Amino acid sequence: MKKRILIVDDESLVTKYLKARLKQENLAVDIAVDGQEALKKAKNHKYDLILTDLMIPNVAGRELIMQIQESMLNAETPIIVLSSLSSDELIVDVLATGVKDYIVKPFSVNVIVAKIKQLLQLSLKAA
Amino acid sequence: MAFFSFILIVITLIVIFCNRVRKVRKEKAVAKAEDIIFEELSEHLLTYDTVTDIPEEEMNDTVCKLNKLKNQDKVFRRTMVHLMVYFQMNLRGTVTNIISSAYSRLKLREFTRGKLRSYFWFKKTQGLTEVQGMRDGHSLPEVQNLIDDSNQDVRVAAYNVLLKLKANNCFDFMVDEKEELSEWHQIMLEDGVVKTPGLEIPDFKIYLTTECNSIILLCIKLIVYYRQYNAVPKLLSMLDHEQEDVRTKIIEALGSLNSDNYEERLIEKYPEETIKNKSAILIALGQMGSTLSGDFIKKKFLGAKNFDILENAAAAIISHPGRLKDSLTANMSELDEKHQAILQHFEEPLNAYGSV
Repeated sequence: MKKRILIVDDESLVTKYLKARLKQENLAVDIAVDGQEALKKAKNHKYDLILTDLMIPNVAGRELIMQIQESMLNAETPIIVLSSLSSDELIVDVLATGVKDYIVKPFSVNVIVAKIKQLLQLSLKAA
Repeated sequence: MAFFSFILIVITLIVIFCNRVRKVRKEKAVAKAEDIIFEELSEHLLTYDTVTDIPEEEMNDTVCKLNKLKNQDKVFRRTMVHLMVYFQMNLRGTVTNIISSAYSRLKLREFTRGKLRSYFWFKKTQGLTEVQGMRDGHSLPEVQNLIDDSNQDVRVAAYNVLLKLKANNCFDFMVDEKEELSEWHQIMLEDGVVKTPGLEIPDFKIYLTTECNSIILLCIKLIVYYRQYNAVPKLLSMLDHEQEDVRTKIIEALGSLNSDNYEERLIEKYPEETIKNKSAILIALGQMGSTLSGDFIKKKFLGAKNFDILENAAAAIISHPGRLKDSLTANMSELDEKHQAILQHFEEPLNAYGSV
């Protein structure tokens, strides 16, 4: 069965491109353009990985992370944050919430794909 | 009269309606063009890791298709440039080389250069943004021509491109610019300097001799950002500058740089200064935090007649790294209500930085 990933970002071109690249890796990708849509999707589906921006409409990125971590289906789902905010304090703060990685925009797609694959393999081993 | 008014209203409504229809059509056309171009790029070029991985035939076919679209109408041409600049700015790594290569083969550089030669200032700034976004070093000669443009927005955008592309003379504008820069221009240029990785940073004190006050303000911000302590003597010598804003920035910079060797000079300057700068001096002395400054701040706090002075002296006491706050708060009961209340106010972390 295909691994399923949720991308939460309101920048449609970046998410479209990421989706296309991840599809090439034989991964199923869902997109949410705001926090509410992301929470709705996370409530209904179990994801193998969630990739989220911090500055998204409706629900703040950190609030979204907390709610996902407290959700029934995706409490254990690894989360990668993708943001243009690059202050050290913020990154340390966000990593302390238990997210697996923090990638600063602009990003290298090859690096993201590699990180996602690595995390999916790790979670497979853990399972 | 009523008839003419009616006709005028009808014409206005028709114009509004037509404009809306045109706008919607344009948006649809752009969205369609975006989808088609995105598909071409993502399916045939951006699926590869590097330019060399792309088979020559596939590259040629894709460029040929995109070329046709580009020549078909201007919506495609504009959207193509927009998309490529967008990807170049939002992605990193080898994919950006693929985008640069496609941009070059599609001769979109010529399209951007055409904008740089335009009669209209907004076209020129649009072209400059594209050059900057594409990190197109080949267009530097055209950008250089715009640093003498009569429009300041164009000049500042050109300076910014020179900074972002790390041109040899990218800091010359600090000497050459004669017109005062707006706050927004200063922010743009500051951003251009501090957010360009690998840019060779000069000694900004050499630019403090310019007659353009806004350039001096920009230099002071950059001196503080890069902690250029060797600029402190020059800053001190400018404490008598005729412009109040410049003096304020210098005082703030001395505080931020923690130049406690020069606090006597600030204390000396205090009586001659305006209320705004007196407040700035108190905050700066608070940051420096020596015993001498401590006694001075305490004196001003207890003897303040002006509320701004009282407020900023209190903020300076709380931010003072020495024992000034403790020595005052130990004898809190000896202070009157007003002094007690304002000290307590600045003890709140959110208020700790004062009002300056």
